Amino acid sequence: MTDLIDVHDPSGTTGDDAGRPVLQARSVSKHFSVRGRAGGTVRAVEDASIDLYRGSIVALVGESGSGKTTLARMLSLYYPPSDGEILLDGNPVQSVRGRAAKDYYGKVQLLFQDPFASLNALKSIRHILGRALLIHGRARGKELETKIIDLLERVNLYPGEEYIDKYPHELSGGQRQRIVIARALAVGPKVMLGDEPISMLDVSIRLDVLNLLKKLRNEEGLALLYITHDIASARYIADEIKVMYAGQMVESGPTERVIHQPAHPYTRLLLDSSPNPESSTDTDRDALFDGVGDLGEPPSLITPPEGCRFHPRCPHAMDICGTSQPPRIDLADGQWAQCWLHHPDHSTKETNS
Amino acid sequence: MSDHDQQISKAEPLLEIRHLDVDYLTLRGDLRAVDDVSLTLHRGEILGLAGESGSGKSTLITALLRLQRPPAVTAGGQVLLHRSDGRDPIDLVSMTDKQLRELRWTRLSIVMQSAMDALNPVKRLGVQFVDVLRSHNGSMTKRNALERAAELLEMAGIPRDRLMSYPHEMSGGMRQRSLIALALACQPDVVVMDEPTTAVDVVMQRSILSKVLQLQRELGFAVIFVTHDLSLLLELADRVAIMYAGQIVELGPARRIYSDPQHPYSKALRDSFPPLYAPLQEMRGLPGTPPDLRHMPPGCRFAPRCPIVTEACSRKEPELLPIGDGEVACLLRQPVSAERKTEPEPAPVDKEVLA
Repeated sequence: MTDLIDVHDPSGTTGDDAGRPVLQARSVSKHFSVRGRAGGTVRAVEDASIDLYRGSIVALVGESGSGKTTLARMLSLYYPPSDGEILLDGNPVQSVRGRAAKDYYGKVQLLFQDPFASLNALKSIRHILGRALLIHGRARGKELETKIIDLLERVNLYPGEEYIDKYPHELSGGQRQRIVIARALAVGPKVMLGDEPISMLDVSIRLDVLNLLKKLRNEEGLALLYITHDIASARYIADEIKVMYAGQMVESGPTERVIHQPAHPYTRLLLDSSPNPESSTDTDRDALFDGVGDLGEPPSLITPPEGCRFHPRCPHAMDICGTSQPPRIDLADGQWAQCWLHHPDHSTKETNS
Repeated sequence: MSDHDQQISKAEPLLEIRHLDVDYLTLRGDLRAVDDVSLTLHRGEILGLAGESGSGKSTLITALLRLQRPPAVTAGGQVLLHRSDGRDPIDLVSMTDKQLRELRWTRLSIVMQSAMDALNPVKRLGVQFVDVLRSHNGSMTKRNALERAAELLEMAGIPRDRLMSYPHEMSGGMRQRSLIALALACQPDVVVMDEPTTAVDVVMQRSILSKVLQLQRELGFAVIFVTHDLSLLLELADRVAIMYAGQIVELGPARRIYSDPQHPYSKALRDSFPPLYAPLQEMRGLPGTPPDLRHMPPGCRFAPRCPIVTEACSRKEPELLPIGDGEVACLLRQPVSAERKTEPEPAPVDKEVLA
């Protein structure tokens, strides 16, 4: 048994962990080769880095096909990076099997999008949660039931006794997603990777699941990666927002800063496109949609555009954007963007208007 | 096309749903999924229909277009389609399939949620347009139909050379836009859009909806827009109807539903979306789940989840009554001696069509 922390005790980590990310991706890339006539290489993720800290939520935001899920799968060792490395507690990890895999997944757990597909319909909640506890040696014998009930109540399913002998089909979508979260918690993880954990749920219960994830961060010190295309929900729960476009990370920074002072034109486009009834009360509806025109589509990842991958859609594109890849430019408060507009030689326009 | 422009008057009813009931027949008894719904769509209007999954919104629209299949059956009510020439309206509920075929595409059309499932995967896009156009206008030559198809695609912002493409060769956003173009091919008055942008991301959603609004202004069709995303409807629709457990609980102008929802369920739905820019505060979801159709709670169906429930709510079922600029079904919003609405007589229906 390795040094599994007790998730009930936020101070359970050893001192030297302080300030070091629990899980990191360092300059990872993932390329898939495509067979057939249209063959080539899909550059799904390029040179992406992410640090997940204890008690902190990082949101990864972007359109479909931007590489968010591929990055999460690399973090969960679903497939190895083509380039770069994954580090857990500062130690590089390769793809793992057997004993090492159990240790890894004892610390890093995944939350899936669809709670209707990720629970075995033939097994009771007792079996589903008990199995995770038993396999990871977190409970045995008589204490099993107590631990299962404890897990149910930690995800706000009160009283736990009421749910323990139910089957997934007897639960609502929101309750099922809580079971998925409880199952992940059963192994006492340090990190949870949530790939659109609320997008399949009804709108009225999404907030409760988000609040639960916040509670797990605050009370149990969990590190959480929250993947979403809904930037408003990212703002609600995340401490930090990272924006991906066409396989690259284009902006990152503290949540409120990214929302109120987006530095990359793509972040601006995402924010402008998100439904926002606050604005429609004082603006004309036609004005909200007028002049939107064709906002374009993300590029092919087999033959991505030269230079900045966003330049064909960018309203501020300059000559240099079509020829060279913009560097990462650090701005205030830990915010950065990969955009020529912020380069001292080119920053002629202000995007934070 | 041009005669539409002159005729748009937001007060003129186009489609009137009157006391519509839809049941699912099961071995353990009938389940009423849509219960006594009355709703009027006006010419050139965008009417939003919002609610959680299971609230009956999809059942309602498939029933009103007569697209439902057993075990769903329309158990009662009327769906009146008004005609612009002043003759009596047509009742869609009592029409034969053959009569309905005359109206499909030319007066009523639907845009489905998943374009990949709605388009034929083994036919080029152009062929699918030609099929629709020629089946409703036998005298149209194939060449003219293709030309018209190209115009329609361009109208929806798709290059005309895409006529030769198969659906799988196009992006999700392009497929969804071509489905919208197809729905508009025969210039219908009513276009039902069932979550048309759920499968695309926010940027594409914004661009598709701006296209829909632009076309709607040019062509003057009316839209019933169904979605679970109330925040989107509040921006898009003229009026919004909120459904809960098979009934409409509130109907009103979109902006007012956002600024001053009258029904506690509308308020809870509105407050389920974290704000994009406004100061953040701790928000609470709506506790509980919608009721099981088999065991509908007595009185108000929302009472078990309602934050402002009173003792009377579990005894008396609230009626949908006009309040201010809308309609609300909540006991707390109703005058104490609310007079019962007089049951309207069934509308006169054109017997000729039914014959």
